[in-house]
Amino acid sequence: MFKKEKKEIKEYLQAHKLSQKADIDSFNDLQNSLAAAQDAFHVFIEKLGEPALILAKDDSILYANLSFFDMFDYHPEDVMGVSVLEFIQPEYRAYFTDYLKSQEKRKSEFHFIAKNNQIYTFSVSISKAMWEGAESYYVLMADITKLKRTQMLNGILESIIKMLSTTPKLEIALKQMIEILNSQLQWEIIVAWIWPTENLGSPYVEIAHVQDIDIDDFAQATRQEAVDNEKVNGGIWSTYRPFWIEDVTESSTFSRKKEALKNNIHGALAFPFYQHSQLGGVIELYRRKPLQEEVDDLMLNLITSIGIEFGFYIQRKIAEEAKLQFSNVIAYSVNGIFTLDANGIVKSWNPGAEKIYGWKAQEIIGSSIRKTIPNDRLEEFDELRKILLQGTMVEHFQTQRLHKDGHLIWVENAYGPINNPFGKAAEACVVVQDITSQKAAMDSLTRSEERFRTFVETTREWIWEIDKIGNFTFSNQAVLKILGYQVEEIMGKNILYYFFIEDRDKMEKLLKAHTTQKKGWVEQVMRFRHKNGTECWIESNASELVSLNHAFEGFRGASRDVTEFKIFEKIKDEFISMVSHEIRTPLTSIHGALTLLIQRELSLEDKKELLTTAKRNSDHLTNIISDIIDVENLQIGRMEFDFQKIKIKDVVLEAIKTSDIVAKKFNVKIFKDEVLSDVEVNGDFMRLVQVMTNLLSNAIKFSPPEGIIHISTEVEGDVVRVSVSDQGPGIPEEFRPKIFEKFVQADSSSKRSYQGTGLGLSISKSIIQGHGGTIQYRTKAGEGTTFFFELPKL
Amino acid sequence: MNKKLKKILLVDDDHDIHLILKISLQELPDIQVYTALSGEEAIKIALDVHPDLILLDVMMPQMDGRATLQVIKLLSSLSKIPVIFLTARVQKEEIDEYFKCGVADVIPKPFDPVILPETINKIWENYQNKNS
Repeated sequence: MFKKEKKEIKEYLQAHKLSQKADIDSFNDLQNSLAAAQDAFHVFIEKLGEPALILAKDDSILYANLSFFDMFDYHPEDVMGVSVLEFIQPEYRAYFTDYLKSQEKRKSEFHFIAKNNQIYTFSVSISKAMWEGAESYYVLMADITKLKRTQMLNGILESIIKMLSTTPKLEIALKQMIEILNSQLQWEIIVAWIWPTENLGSPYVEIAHVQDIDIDDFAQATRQEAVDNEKVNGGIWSTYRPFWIEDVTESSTFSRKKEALKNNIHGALAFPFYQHSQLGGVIELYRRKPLQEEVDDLMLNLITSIGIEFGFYIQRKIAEEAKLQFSNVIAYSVNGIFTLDANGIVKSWNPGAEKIYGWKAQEIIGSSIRKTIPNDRLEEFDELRKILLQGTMVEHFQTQRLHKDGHLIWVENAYGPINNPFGKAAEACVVVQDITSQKAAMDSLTRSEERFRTFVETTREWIWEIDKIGNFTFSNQAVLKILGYQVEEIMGKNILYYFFIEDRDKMEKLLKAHTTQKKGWVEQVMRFRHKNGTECWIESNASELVSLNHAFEGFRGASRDVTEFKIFEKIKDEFISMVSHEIRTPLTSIHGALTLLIQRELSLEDKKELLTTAKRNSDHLTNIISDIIDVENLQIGRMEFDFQKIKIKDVVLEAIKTSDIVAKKFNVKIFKDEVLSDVEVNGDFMRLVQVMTNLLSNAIKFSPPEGIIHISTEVEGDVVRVSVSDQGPGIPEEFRPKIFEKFVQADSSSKRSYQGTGLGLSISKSIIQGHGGTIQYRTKAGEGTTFFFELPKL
Repeated sequence: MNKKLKKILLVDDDHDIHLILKISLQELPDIQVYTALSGEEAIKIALDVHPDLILLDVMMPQMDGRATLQVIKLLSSLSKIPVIFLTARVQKEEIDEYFKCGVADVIPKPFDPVILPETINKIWENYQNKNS
């Protein structure tokens, strides 16, 4: 403005063609004008919005305008005649003096001190001019304090942004951030509270500080606070606004006051940052000096901007981390993961896919996925593509694919459409699981299950499961055959129910013992009660049932009916006892006779009688032993027959001759038909006599005294039938089905009328069958029995 | 003073045993031996001759040794006669059962006919001592 004034005066002079030689009027006019201009200039300076000074040559202030007084809060008496250097920060004083003397018409910046000691930055321009007739300096000042602060704060923000964009590590970023904030703003400690998304869980805390300060206690308390996250930064979390504490050691609300005091921490400023437009955390700044300056709009702008930038930084870091994790997941996944474009061209291909399909990423990316699809699956794939292009996801899709080396693999795929930026499904992501071995295992499991089920359903063994209290939880069909119950009948019922009442206590104790030990049993024979009330001996193996978490659940077992075996055992025991008696009886006679013969003086007659006795008994013994041998041979199918053409009549007569002595002994009479058949058969004479003798001796032993046995022969068609009838008690009902079995005798008590080996009928049946014939009987209780055999006649 | 053993009744369904027993018992002086082939016959003869001792086979048709013994014990005129079982069935439990039935002693089959007379004598004497 001053320039402008001067310029106008100059122009005025030129316009009026004035010169130093101009007339005096004109010159007076000019002087008047100048004085007017000077007045105007003074008024202008006085009222200028920025401070202005006029200095004497010795730096003392000749004049200061209103703005100067206002801004610096001085009174004229503080200022007038005082050296200007008094108002300039000492370090700028020399420079100011130089600047003043250099007379360069330029601007420079100086820091001035207000009465309240506040420092202002001014851009200063100095011009040399006359003042009240003396040479003096016009000092015009422009307050650039705010501008400078703005520049400084912008610089800080710029450095932070630059730093954040190039520093991947949060720890280092914070360290650098506090260095930046320290250099200009004297902050010394930075604490970042980073909340996991959705404000769940404890915050993550990172602390950084400038060098050479000890904040161990404070840092520890801060980290602890993060763990007990309820206390954290309540103010900001509720207001979303920055706040500051002049001196935390004097604050009544600051929770880490004690540790702050210990580490000499006083000033504090905290502000929020954002992640995805939500409060993402808080940054706290601390320093050892109390907070004295005003937190002005500029500072608030700065921390808001830092909050925004830091929020972006954290967001970016989380995204980068997630991306890294995701790419690691893809890289390390055992699943094949690849992407396809709309035409089925492979765009990406992870190591998992390489392993499953055999194709390397570089071999397949850019080519069609069709080369991994067997021909008969191409149509299926095209259908799938259509569905995907509609934006629909396809999961658990089991299909077959081709390995690079040509073999088929089973895969389970999940197809997810990937949209282009305009929301249209343009690509697909495919997650592949190789289920070839799983499929094979499943097939094998299914087969094995099938096998097991068939086995369980068809086996004659009774397979069952009971729970810990003995209730049936499973049974196969065999229970019907073994115990006479349907599966449904026994399910849920207690096993004790299937024992005889008198056995239940004993069985309950036994089961309890196994239950307590949680241990099964082996080859345990138990007596069960069949549904029809009869006894049923069952041999069981059982193992304990244990759940996946090792809890005892009961028993699983397999049982078989050993009733027949039990009966057989009994019969065998009886047989052995009987055979031993049968052998002992003749032995007693032989032994007795021989002992007497050797050791006694005997009459000739006695000697003869004893020898006869010994001989007869040894013959009997021989018969018994040959019976037993016959049975042995029959058992292993080794009996040999000497087939001859023989007359059936001769067989009958020979047998009668042999049995007559016994019949007489038992006072039984043997009658035969007057005319016996003359029919011939192809047979072993001695064996057929043995059969007849057997039938006769049976008839004799079951005949009452004075009883009559009748023998008859008949020819009917191609067979000849020989019958032996007695007047005995008849065969007991329950004994009939087993009559031809080995070791069987209807009455095994010592009352038996006639001792036999219990093998006769069994031997007879085998002999007749060996001749291509049959042997049968008719019997009626109290009236007698007829045994008859039929042989093919010649 | 002990009674002298004079009459013995042999009961066995086997003729051969009769023969051997008879020859064996010839050793005993002045002894009268009676024989029966069945329990029924034994009772009849016993009631008739009142033997001093009965040698009774256990396994016989129809009425066996135990049944015969039972009848003997029921008949007051015979109940005091000592009865010795002759049997091949000499399991411990079987012997216990015989004694329960009231048998004086048991001689197992096969027996030694040479020492039999002495065995019978001993049993007879024991029985006499016990019942005197």
